Amino acid sequence: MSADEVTLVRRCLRGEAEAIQDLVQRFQAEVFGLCVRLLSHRHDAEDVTQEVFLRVFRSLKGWDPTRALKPWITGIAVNRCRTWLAQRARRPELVDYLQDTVPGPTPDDSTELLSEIQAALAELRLEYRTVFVLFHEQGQPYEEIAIALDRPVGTIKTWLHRARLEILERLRRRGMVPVEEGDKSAAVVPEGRGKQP
Amino acid sequence: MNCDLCQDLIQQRLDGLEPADPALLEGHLHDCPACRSLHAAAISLQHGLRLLTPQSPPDALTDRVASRLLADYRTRMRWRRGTAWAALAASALLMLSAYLWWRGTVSVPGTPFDPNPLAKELPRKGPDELPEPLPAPAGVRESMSEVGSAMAQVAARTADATVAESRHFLPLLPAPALPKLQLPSPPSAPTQVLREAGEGVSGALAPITDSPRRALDLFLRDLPMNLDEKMGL
Repeated sequence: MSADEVTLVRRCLRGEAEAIQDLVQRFQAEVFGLCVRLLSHRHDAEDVTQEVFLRVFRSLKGWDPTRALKPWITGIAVNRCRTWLAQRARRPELVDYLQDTVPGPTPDDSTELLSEIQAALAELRLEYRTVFVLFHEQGQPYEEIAIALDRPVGTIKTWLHRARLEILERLRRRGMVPVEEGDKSAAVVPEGRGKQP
Repeated sequence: MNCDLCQDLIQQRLDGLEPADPALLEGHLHDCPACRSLHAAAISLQHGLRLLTPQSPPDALTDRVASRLLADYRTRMRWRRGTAWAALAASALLMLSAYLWWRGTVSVPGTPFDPNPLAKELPRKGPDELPEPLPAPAGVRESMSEVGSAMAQVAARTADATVAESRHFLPLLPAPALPKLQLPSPPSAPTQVLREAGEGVSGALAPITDSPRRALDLFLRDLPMNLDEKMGL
């Protein structure tokens, strides 16, 4: 936490419009990026981002000034995404058809690799996906992720290692890994191992 | 170096950490196809992660979210103020009700019984102004005064009836032959006997009311003026 964050929160609680704008600008990119990866849908991500900040604003009074603001907001974002996914599972899924129907340029290897990674991410369990995005896309350290998700660091490491192994396995199955000639064991994945939480 | 250790080192590479002894890792990878394949996939993943760009929010999202938060804040403040005023009004109403209830049930000891306690509190009216109707007295006091009034009325009617009947007999009584007495004042001395009789009657009725006494006094006043002469006084 920083004195700057404490001051910002106090100003927000007083209803200062500038402070509220500042709070949203500071954390919006990370919240939105996380929501897009977890929900795989931009429109839903916008709605959930708004809900996240509304929840954050209403809970600001209960925020512990001894804790950093970012992990706290991240935890709220993950919970809102989880709730949204549960609700979406109970109603007809709205697919972002625009992405599928608009013809684009012929994908090169990099683009294909990227889309395979994103597809692999979408298939992961929510916890694994969350940790992977927070670590690799947002660059958060293990300790900060552990605080945000309210889990031990060891659990976070285990989830991340398992997420990587699943993605690596998919990449190998989809032929995204160069195979050496005569290497019959290229498709064999070492038995999934990971430290027990 | 075994496969487990090798996979740990691959994970460390993906964490962004370099193994302490890279040659050991390379040696195992050379000998183990499974770990070599896993290592190749990890390299592809690292390459892909560099291409992974963070999703940027739309430009208008910041303003939209901030406006929503501000509107929510103002709504909550308005609601909070309204609730505070309502609570204050309810408290004042409760206190007023309690006070009015207390006024209605408490009787102050040592004060004389007043069947119309609120009469003194009414403002004085001018001669041309119509008197205001008296407010309803308090419950218990009202009941007691009504009972006393009713009993007094019954006793008064009884005494009046008794005295009225006895009046008829007085003119028929013969005048007693009494010696002339030198009596001091009062001028109504000849009627003293009757007065004492009346006082005896009223004394018997005194515990109930004093109206029979008044009735007797009226009776004595109504006696004919020449009675003294008839009695030889």
